[in-house]
Amino acid sequence: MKMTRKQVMKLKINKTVFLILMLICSSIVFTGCWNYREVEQLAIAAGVAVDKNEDGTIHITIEAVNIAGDGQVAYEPVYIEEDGRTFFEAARSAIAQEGKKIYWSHAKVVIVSQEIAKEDIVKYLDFLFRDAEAREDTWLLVSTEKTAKEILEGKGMLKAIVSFQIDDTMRSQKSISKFPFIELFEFFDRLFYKQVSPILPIISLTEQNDKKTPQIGGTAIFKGAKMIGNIDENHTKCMLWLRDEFKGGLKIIEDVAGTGENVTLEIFDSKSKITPVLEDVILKMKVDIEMDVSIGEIAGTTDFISKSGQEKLKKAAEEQIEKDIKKMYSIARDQYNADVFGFGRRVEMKMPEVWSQIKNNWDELFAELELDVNVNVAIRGSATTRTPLKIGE
Amino acid sequence: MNKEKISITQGIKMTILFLFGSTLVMGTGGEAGRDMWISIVAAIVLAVPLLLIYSRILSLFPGEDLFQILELNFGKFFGKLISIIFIWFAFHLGALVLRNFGEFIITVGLPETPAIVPVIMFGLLCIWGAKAGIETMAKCSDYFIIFVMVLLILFSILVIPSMDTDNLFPIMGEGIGKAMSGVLSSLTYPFGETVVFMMIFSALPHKKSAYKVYIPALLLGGFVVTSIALRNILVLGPATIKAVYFPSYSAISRVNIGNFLQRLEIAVTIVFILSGFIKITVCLLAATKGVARVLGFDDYRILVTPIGLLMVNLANIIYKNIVEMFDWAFEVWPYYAFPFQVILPVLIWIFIELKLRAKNKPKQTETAVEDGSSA
Repeated sequence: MKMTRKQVMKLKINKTVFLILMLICSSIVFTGCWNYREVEQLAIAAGVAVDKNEDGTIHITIEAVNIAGDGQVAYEPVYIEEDGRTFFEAARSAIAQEGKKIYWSHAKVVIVSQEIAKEDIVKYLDFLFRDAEAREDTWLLVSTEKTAKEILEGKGMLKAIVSFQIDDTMRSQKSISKFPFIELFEFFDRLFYKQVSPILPIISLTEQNDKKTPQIGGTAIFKGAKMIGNIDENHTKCMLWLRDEFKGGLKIIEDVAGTGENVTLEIFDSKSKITPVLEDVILKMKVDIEMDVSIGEIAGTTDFISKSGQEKLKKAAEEQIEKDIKKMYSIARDQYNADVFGFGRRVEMKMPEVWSQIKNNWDELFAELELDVNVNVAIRGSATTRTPLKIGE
Repeated sequence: MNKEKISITQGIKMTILFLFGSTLVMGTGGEAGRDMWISIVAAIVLAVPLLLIYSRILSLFPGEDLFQILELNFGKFFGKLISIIFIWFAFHLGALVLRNFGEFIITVGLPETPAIVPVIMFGLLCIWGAKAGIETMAKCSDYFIIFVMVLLILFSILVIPSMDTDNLFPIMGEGIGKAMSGVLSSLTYPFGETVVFMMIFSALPHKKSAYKVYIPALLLGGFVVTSIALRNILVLGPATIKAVYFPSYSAISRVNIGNFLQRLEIAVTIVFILSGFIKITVCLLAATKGVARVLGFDDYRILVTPIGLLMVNLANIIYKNIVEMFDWAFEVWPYYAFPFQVILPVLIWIFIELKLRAKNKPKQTETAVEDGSSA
């Protein structure tokens, strides 16, 4: 059917009217958001410390970054402290105090006191897992100081905002290996598994230039949502080897071959092959660790760089690392009975049939699980020098 | 009545987007835990004969939609009765997806906005789409599929550093029964839902084209759904997948390249909006065409707005909250949808085949039907 000129014109006018209406509508509806938040209206949380008051309520300390109106970021931390019966309530009442709503998406660090960790961490921190605004890749740490608040109020060395410094330190875990690299989501994920013991890094304060600086080192061991103990930095290294998560760091070999001298090895790369083996119905864990090291420091004059010297060093290093790992293993197994290595999960992956039979009494089995560890150290070099320092004779 | 036509490739694109609909965001086959991808693959295998049956019914009566076929074969009264059942299914499905969309938006983006606001906005958009007709929707699919695929591939690559292959093992560690426990839920959501297309595929060009649309769309779309499920398991692990409402959203939120490229979750929203738009509009179109047919209207367009608004209403009242929505989607839906997607179509197919065989014993079935239907 052909349209007349008049009809076409009418259609065109209709279309124009419609378009204008659409434009007006969208300029009214889409130019604003009724629950909008301007940046200067927000207090941007960089980190938060969670403590428990004596009466059982929660005390939170938020380290916030102050944003001045005209886009200026003043690098001065502002502390907001608040009490509440739950974490969420405390976080909300901070608005009343500051007049600004706390913006959580940039929060890098959550520090909890040991007291809370030992009671039940989920009871206090469920909010972090649930709320859409809190990002899951935040660091969760346990403070071994009396409160968690002290840590945030410590002085950063290079950065004024302590939380940002902690974030940087956590990201450089690869070259330190003194604490585990656990992201918040990973911790929560492990909580779902009955047989794996979750772990978290530990944070404490040290004195530096008369200032108290936060320092991360060591591991808090959990059983379910309750912290049951902690291990120090050296044991943490051994634990990382058994988790195949050791990426790099130092290892001091004490009293090498009876010379009374200590050698510091820098470990560049380490790989652990962890296999469960069944020997006459007895489950055993077999761990083969291969590492590339370089001689970083020799505290003495003995020659460990020549071929025969290297042999000696290699043997001493392997023996000591094996010994240390076994010691750490017995702490985890006998003292805490906590499978922080995820051995149960390895059994599940490699031997699903075996696992389905033993999964309900893994705790008892783990208490008697034998570990067979075998370390192979490959010495790659000795930094830039060929000989040990010789003292003129 | 002037007939709209879409090409085979457009049909495939539309069906793929329909399959992505809410599935990519809400996930499917979750019962099987880390083996959910096995469940999904098995569901695809089971869906092949099912979709062949759909195609067979359609290809026996080219150019006719499901409602016409029902009336032709079951008579006016029973045909309309069965039509009403299918109309309800399309209408209900559209409302469910609309609500999924609303819940998604208020959960991840606008917690203080009432859920009805995104539902109304999206509903109006879909009404507009359905009014424009299937040809326009097909052209939309042409463009949307590019965005959706590029985003899916790009973000799946970006999230590779956050993957942990350990999450996949042991494969079928808890036995084949557990690995298959998600089959029914994956079959009914999303693959069986393509039954809705039977109600609008009268727009396809040739006799055999239903086959050429259904099967490639199932295989391609199924492949992507499986890959996304695999990706989510690799990134999140089975325990977290169970714990979060929107696995894809949580997975993509893990993207963090050099502390710089991060917070890309919004891409998931784009995928959802584009594919959800197609899915809801297809459902609305199907329901509206069905009502028009049952009531004997010439043009379905007059019905789009009222039915679309009813859909918005249903979406609004159907659940109390998001928990109920997920309980329904994963626990009730497989059993609720099974009769609509499997039992009824199979019965209809058997009935039609028997009827045709009885009617034209010596002659070849298909040619005979062609003559019969155009009469």
